[in-house]
Amino acid sequence: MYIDLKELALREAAKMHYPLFYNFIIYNELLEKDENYSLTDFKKFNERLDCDIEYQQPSKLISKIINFNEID
Amino acid sequence: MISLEQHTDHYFYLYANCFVTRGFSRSTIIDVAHKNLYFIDNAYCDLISRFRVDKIGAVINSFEAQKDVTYFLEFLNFLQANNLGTFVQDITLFPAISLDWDHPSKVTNAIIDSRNINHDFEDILKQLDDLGCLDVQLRFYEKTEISYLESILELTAPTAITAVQMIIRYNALIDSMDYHRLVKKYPVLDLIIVYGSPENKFLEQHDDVREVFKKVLFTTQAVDSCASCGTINLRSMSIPDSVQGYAENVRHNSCLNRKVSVDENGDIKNCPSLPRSFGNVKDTPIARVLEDKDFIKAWNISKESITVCKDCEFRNICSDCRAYTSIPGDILSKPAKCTYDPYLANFA
Amino acid sequence: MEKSFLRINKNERSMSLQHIDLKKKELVVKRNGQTYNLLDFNAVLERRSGFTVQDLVNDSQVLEESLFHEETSYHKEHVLKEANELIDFIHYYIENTSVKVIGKYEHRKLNKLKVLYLATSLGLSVPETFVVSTKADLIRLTKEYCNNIITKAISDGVYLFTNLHGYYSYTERLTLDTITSKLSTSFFPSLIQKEVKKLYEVRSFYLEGAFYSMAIFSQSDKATQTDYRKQGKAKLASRMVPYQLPDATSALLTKLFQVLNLTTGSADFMVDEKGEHVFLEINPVGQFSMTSIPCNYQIEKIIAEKLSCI
Ligand code: SF4
Ligand code: SF4
Repeated sequence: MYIDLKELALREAAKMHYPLFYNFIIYNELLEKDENYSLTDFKKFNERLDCDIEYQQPSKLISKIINFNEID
Repeated sequence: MISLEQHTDHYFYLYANCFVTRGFSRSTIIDVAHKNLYFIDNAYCDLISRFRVDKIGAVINSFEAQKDVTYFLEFLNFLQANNLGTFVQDITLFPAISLDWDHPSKVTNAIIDSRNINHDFEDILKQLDDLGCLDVQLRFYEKTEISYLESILELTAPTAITAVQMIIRYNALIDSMDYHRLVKKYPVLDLIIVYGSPENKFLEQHDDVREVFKKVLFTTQAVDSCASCGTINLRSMSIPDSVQGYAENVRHNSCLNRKVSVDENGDIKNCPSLPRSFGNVKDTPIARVLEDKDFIKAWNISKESITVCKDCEFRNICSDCRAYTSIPGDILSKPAKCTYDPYLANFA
Repeated sequence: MEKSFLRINKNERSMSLQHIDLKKKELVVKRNGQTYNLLDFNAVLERRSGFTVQDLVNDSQVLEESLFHEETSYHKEHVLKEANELIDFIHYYIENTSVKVIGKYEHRKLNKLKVLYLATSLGLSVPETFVVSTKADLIRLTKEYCNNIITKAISDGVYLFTNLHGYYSYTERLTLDTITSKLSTSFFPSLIQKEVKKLYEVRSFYLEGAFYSMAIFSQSDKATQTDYRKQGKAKLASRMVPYQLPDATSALLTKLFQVLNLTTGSADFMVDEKGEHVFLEINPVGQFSMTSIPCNYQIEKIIAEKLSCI
């Protein structure tokens, strides 16, 4: 995924009132929510663990009943 | 191009997350950080082991023939070009990565097989959740209705299960878009594979925000029972996403570690294809099965103890199979369905 | 090893303080319909803040309305001060009645300049550091250090998410070019440091006397040279590997943690071409997972064991 980062422009007159690093603030537009997926869809609050959990792909093959060599 | 003179007083540090596995006929370097695999000659594998002891200058001095120096230079160039290592002054500041593995969950993954019987999924999923199970694969050997799959997915709502995979039989009455809708509706549903389909087809949805792939796969492959499991080829190997994943593969059984299965009769097993049942899920709590030493034993069969596999350069990324072994009844023999011969370095 | 626990997250709106009773030793909160006496817990791990003003003030919107004549903000500041005093005590009370405490509330914030000063006085090597407010001074420093100076925040950089945008500030290199073309003649006093030409960065997580260190090699990509977090366009992820601090550095750093009274935190270094370890800062609420996961240190397990072994 490529994020388009832009530089935030400070007004000339404002520059003298800000620390130097304010001259280098960068920003990006946050991607709009896809109609099929929203960010919150990928996590949910879990009572037992008392925190948000994120849906994730399994970290390994669970079984090898499907031969992927035959698919592609 | 590296100039060796400049580095004679340096060590070459092969990054600690690039793991070398020596096989009978060749070796591999697995770069876990970038998910790459490289084959190298076993002679270079020996050379790498000297990197932690000898400075570049000392390695060069040990060569008798000038052509060895040239090969060495080429090898260093190859390592550096692929960002597998770098020159350092003090190698002792760069220790190896520990391959100790542990997980807060008592069970991390599960297989539940179904054929014509209705398991008490609510109870099974609740038990798995209490054990901290993250990934669940459901395999159905009979045709299933979408509404039935949906009712099972609803049961995962209160759990902390992070991925459900469904492997189901092709049903001509179900429109393929229905599976797609299911995948969309339930973010926990990671993958649906429809076997026995008229064609191989691949519906994919790509979400840019999280770089998540949601997949519905149709395969012509015929599946009748758990006996189809145990396929081993290059596609069933994967370089883990993390050092933890790699460590688990090295230290534990890559298929069965922290796994429980419920077979089509409700029997609790390490995997549905293994003969031994540790009780039926109807009357035996899964947590009790985990207390059985015999059940846990399979979790710790690492590749180092398996004949043939222990000489294979793929052993640390291979997903193994303990149910179908080349010598029936010998749990420490090579997987029967693996066609790779590490002594010849080819797939049959 | 299975223990019951309660996680108090910032902005967990459902939690509210019921009462505190110093005599009966009670600090009762209500959460999701359940009440807990937080003094019953015997181990606590603190990262950033647990309690926030929102947990005490039911409707913070009310504070936006003015209350006093001719004065619009006094009441708000006053009530927030009252709230912070109480929050301070809540954490102090829990910490003092627990058997095991990792991370303290009062340590959630460190002054970067104070820490740099202390580090130098203990003998750690630090980048040459200045606070300047005029272009003339900047130009002088640029010349003195051959165009190798950087600027960064004294406190925290900008890290802000609105509904539509994300804003960030990083460590920036200041060249003569940028200074003359982009900056004003005078400005808010800003932190300037001589840039360390790094071979690699080091992040050391400290926990009760032990270091879990990681080296970060990011040099291979230009975009990440000044600040490795800026990986926007970098193709390959930085190489993050286990690291062993040299004995001398580790001894001095231990001293620094002791002087600061910290039992945990994360220290950052740059290692230059000569192998010199240049100390940058300590993050007292350091994320340990970013060190633990790539290096397989299992720090989460070590912390869990420390919390439950009481
Ligand atoms: S020989 Fe063993 S380790 Fe090698 S590919 Fe086959 S099953 Fe895997
Ligand atoms: S052990 Fe073999 S049969 Fe059992 S789940 Fe693993 S791959 Fe399949």
